[in-house]
Amino acid sequence: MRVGEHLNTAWVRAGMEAFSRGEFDALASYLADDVVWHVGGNHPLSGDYQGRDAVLEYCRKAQEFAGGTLHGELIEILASDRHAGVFNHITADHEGRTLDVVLAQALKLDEKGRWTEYWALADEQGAVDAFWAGAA
Amino acid sequence: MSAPTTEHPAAVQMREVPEAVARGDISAVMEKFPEDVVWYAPAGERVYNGYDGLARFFGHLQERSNGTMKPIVEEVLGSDRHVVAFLRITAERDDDRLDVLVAHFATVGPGGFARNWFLPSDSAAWNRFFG
Repeated sequence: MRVGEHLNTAWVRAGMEAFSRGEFDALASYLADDVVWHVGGNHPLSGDYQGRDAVLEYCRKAQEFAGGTLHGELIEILASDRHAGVFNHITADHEGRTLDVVLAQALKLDEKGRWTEYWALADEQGAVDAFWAGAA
Repeated sequence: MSAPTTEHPAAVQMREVPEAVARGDISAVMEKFPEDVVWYAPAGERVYNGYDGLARFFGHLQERSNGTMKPIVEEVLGSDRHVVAFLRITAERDDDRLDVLVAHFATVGPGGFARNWFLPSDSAAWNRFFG
């Protein structure tokens, strides 16, 4: 944890880094049992994922499609007791196609800092849709 | 909700945006953004550029909600580089009612909030109402 930052900033950073490393068992500890994960856009993975297991399955599927290359370089995290906002530079590769976008990621947090709701929007949503078009 | 006394200056500035939208004061809204503002949204044109784009974005929301759209600030988080506002937005049209949480992310620059991401948590409900 960095000096002066909110406890949840460090907590969210650790969870996001676990996702990038593909450490889904570690990621599970950051998710509330009844977490709701909204994946926007218009591609096969778009939709709402309800509950920790469904969210982890989505994360595994996304990382598997990208061959483990799905990575977030955290630009900044702003967090409080209730919410977090993450500016994340996302890159990934799949069979010669690359993804390179800045993703704004919003989180609602419970009293223990666990993530209860997630939603996001990229600066190039069309590129996101094109990249995940082959995922199923 | 009033601003906490310790709120970052960028957060204080951002807080004034939904307040101006609620008043219908679009010129006050524009003052918070540079002329080359970029606005990312999950629907519609998806990317709105400049004051004309911003006016089209807000104009569409006002038109589709018959002027009933009301943003209520839940919390604003800010730093020297970025700001995120969590807003509850309500709107009504005939028997249809919208009530969604929206996160507005922005970069902080000398001319105002240059790049903006406008994210409804329930984009399906948002698109159904405003689409």
